[in-house]
Amino acid sequence: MAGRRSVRSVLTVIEVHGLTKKYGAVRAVHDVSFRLEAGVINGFVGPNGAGKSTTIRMMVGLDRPTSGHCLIDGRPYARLAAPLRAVGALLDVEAIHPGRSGRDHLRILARTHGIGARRADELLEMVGLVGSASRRVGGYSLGMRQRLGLAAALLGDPAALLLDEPANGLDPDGIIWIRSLLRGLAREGRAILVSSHLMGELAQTVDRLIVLGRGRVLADASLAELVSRNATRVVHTRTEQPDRLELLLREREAAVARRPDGSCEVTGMTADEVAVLAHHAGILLYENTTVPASLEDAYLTLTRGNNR
Amino acid sequence: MTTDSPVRLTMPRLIAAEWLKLRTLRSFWACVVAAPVLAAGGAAASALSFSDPDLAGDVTARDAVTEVLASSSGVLQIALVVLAVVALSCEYTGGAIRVTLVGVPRRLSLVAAKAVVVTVVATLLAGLSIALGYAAALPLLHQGDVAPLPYGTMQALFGVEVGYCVLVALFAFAVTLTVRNTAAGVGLVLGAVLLLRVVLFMFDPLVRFDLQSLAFSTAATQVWTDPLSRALPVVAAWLLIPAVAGAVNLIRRDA
Repeated sequence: MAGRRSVRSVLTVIEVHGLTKKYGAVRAVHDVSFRLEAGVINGFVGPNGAGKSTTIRMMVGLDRPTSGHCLIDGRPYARLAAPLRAVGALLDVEAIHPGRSGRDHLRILARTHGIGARRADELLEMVGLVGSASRRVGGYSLGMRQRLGLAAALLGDPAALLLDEPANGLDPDGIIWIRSLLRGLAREGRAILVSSHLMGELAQTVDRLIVLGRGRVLADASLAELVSRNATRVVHTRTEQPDRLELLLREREAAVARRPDGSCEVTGMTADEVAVLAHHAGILLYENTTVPASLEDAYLTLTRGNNR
Repeated sequence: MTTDSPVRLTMPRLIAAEWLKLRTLRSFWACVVAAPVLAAGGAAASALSFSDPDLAGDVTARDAVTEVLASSSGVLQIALVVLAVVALSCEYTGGAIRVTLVGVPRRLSLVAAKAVVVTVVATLLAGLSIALGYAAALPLLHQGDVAPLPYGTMQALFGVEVGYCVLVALFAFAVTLTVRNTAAGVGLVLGAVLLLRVVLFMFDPLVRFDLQSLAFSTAATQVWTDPLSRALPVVAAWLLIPAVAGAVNLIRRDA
């Protein structure tokens, strides 16, 4: 597919403005705004029930927002001349008629936009479903449905992709495959939004993260920004006098956690500050390093207290 | 963004996709097989009563053929109801409508394309099935000395039955647009088509009004023989009320 993207798709931008969705008194999504740029993989994370799927469904017009809107190159999704060409969406993989074959499912979608049957066959090959293309979808595993859903999302060679939990049901090889696929699709200039409730699933794939909690955007930043703003820095230190060092650290209001091997995890002070303190107290340090902050920590810090 | 692209959503393409969608359903093929079988069975069963000139009495050839064709369409309509209901309710099997609406977000266009496909399929299937039914009944009619009708008369009688079948299919489609469920759609439509006339007929003397003419099946037949009668608004009401309710529901509700 590389090299086939035209210049116009590079200009594609999706803008979400103040999307809000209420179900009676419950506010599932509240004033969500973000922007998806071409060539960028955006992770869309949050605990279960944070409003990720509802937001994506509103973006493609499946759910009516209570307020706010989503514009794709300046137009609502329903007013696009060729929706499948603009946005490929993978939402609910169970939402495929179980009595049809995978090939027929793709051919039907393709026909709505005048896309040739050959494109459907190409995609079936790409997602590894050629051997099962004639089988009824009702007999597909969850992983196979995900692959078929991805093929459907890519049918129109879209400029943007909205993928809701695409790694669900995929085996480890499948997860590695989807990561490299997304990377390749972003390199071709597509704007990608990929949701997950598992931070680890996205950490190696995305460029930016939009973190959702209780229907609100908690963060919208690059991975580095997110980690530096939200992850707590921890200093791992090992000494011959752990009790004395712990006492000194606590006197300076640092938090100390003792590990079974006698080492300490210090938060609230830098490694340099710990080293100076130990030096002045005449405590010999065997080890004194800053533990790299992880995205997982940053995510947990952000979403703490935001589970429904 | 896509104005220069030949890949775009158009009504003819939507109709082509809906036709493919319908013919990739196993229940569609079951209906296609059942329709001529039912039509032939209904016509032949009715023709049996005209196969003996002594028993047929003073029934005219026109009455006999009308009865045979009406019996044929009366049984055939069951297959057409199922077909029209399934054409729409298949979208709600496992929530497939969500994938459909991502590809085709203009919901009314989608319904219109489906309605076109149902109309064309019902017309062709009804025409073919009733013709086969009549062919199956012909030997029995000949046996009963029922004289052949002029081509124009035959064509008119044939047209009334095909037209009735198409209206029944559209009614089933409109009801399913509202109820979104195969069993409920088939049950309600068959109830309205097969039972309502009988029920209303029973109440006719009580209210001293031709209630029977308000039944869908009565009006849907009469509208083809007397288009300017009261049958037209009655049929329009039967079709439009569920269709509008269903369309409003489809547009306003989350998929």
